Amino acid sequence: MGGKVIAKDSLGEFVSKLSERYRIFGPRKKGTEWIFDEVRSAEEMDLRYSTTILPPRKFFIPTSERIFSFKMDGGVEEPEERDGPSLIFGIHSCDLNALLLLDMVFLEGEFPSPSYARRRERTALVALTCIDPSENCFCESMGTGPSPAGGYDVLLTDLGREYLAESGSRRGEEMLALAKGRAVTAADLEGKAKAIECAKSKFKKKVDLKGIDELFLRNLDNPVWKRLGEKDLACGICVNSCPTCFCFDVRDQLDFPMVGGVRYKEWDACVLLEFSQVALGGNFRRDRAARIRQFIGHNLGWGGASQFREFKGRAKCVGCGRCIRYCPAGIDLTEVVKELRGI
Amino acid sequence: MAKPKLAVVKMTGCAGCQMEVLRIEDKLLDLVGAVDVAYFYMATSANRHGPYDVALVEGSVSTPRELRELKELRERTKLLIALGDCACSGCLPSIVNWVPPQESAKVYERFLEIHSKKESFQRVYPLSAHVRVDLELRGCPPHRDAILEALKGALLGIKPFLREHPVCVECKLKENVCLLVCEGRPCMGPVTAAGCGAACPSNGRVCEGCYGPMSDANASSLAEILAKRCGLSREDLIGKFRKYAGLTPAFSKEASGGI
Repeated sequence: MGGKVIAKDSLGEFVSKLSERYRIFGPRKKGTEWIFDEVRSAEEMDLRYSTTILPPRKFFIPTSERIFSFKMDGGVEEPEERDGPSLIFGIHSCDLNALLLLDMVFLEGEFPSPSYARRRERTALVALTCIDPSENCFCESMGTGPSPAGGYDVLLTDLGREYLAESGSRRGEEMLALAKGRAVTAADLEGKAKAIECAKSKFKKKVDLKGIDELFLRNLDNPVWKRLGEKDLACGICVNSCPTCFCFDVRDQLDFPMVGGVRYKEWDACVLLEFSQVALGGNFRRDRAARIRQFIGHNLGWGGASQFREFKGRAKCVGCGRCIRYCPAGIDLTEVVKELRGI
Repeated sequence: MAKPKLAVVKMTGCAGCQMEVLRIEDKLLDLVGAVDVAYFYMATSANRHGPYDVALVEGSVSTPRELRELKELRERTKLLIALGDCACSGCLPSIVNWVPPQESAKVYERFLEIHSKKESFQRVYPLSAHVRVDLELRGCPPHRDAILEALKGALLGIKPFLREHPVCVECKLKENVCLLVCEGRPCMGPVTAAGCGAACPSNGRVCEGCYGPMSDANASSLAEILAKRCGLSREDLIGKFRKYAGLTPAFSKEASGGI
């Protein structure tokens, strides 16, 4: 696949050209944080962002989504999808890899999701090599960064005054044709390799994945879980900010007066008490300890366990660090792994 | 078939919860079409005594007369719904339970002459301390959607879906900047039941905790975090946990100073 080197002051023009074809969503500053939000120009984006409050999965699995409307007399109507092509600009390697993991569930899994497939298809991805990982990042340990190996349409790497732009798909080629820039030289590729090496030297958090499935399965009764359960607020922030959590709940909402209603689905979270509640108030994970163990275990361990094969043996976690950054109780899954290893 | 009879009744409270029933606005006429509003002092002067199919009861119980009325109402009502925090957990009126009478006298100059005080109980409790309550609609006031959901449930005979998970869920899904984690402000969101749509944090104000404890509130952990991260004193913490739901089992320890 081809590439181009784009001067930083030409990026605005590139984005402006892209905006004629796509609705663009990019990292925008919000208070002390950032969110992926619709933007109309490069100036509205902050490509030096650390991470976003919600992960990009919100574009593919909306936080709340109508499945269909119904009438009490039997009529059912599915919502029409009118959205045109969109583009996520500046997605980091961790979040891009998270989408590739979600693909395993919603495209290649036992029950593919047509709405997820439609949204993935119509959404172009301009990825960004991470040159300045934050203090909570550990994508390198998870093999998901700081620069993605694929899955993008265009990959940008900051070379100082210019961006190296590499295309990863036919759509990416077409997009790059809109950019003004010069040809890629060996020195540019070397610059990229250096930027990646430099980024790797900045990681403060690491996870040792060796035998991690067995580690978790061997430690189901480790006292560490009880201790975490006492600290854990069960606020759901870790799950809702996770780029690969994919659980949802399905509910019916009746109109008033009761002639019809909607069936909708919305994000759900295993750390919440209601998540594993069944009829008559039974609950498989009544204790917070069991729930935080489920969240951390599903993210790092039991990828190879028979009941959690959706990621084909890979860890669910991509090391984006959001659950650490946003946890009010200061729970850090990289520290939990160390504790389990007795380090 | 006769329309179900609805009563909206007030005990000790600010009347804000009944106001919220009127705020259903666009659905109000549908509601009036579906039920027979038999008793609703704020809305009509044609009030009738029971029996009622559904009663929304606002306020906590602070006088013998209220207690008598509540017990009678319970006998005449099929489905008794506690409307708002005062009715569910005591809310602001219940703060009196921790305050010695001489403290109140400092605020009100002629304390003993206050009419309601003369005949009132020393302690204020929610409805469930006195009668069986079929459903609790929490919040100060409860969200209009929750009121509608409860009425729908009552009319259809199905269990209404009310949020029990924390405010943090609604707040995060709105992509608000976390006031507690990012700004170090004392937010009650992690222990407070959702349903308000994270109204305060979405407007840059910390959650005050007005929906009371969420389904699995870890009050002691949050109290520790608020003390460490936000520098709250023991008195501050007592105030936070006592304000709306200090009588609930989930908050009672922190509302009494951790003892």
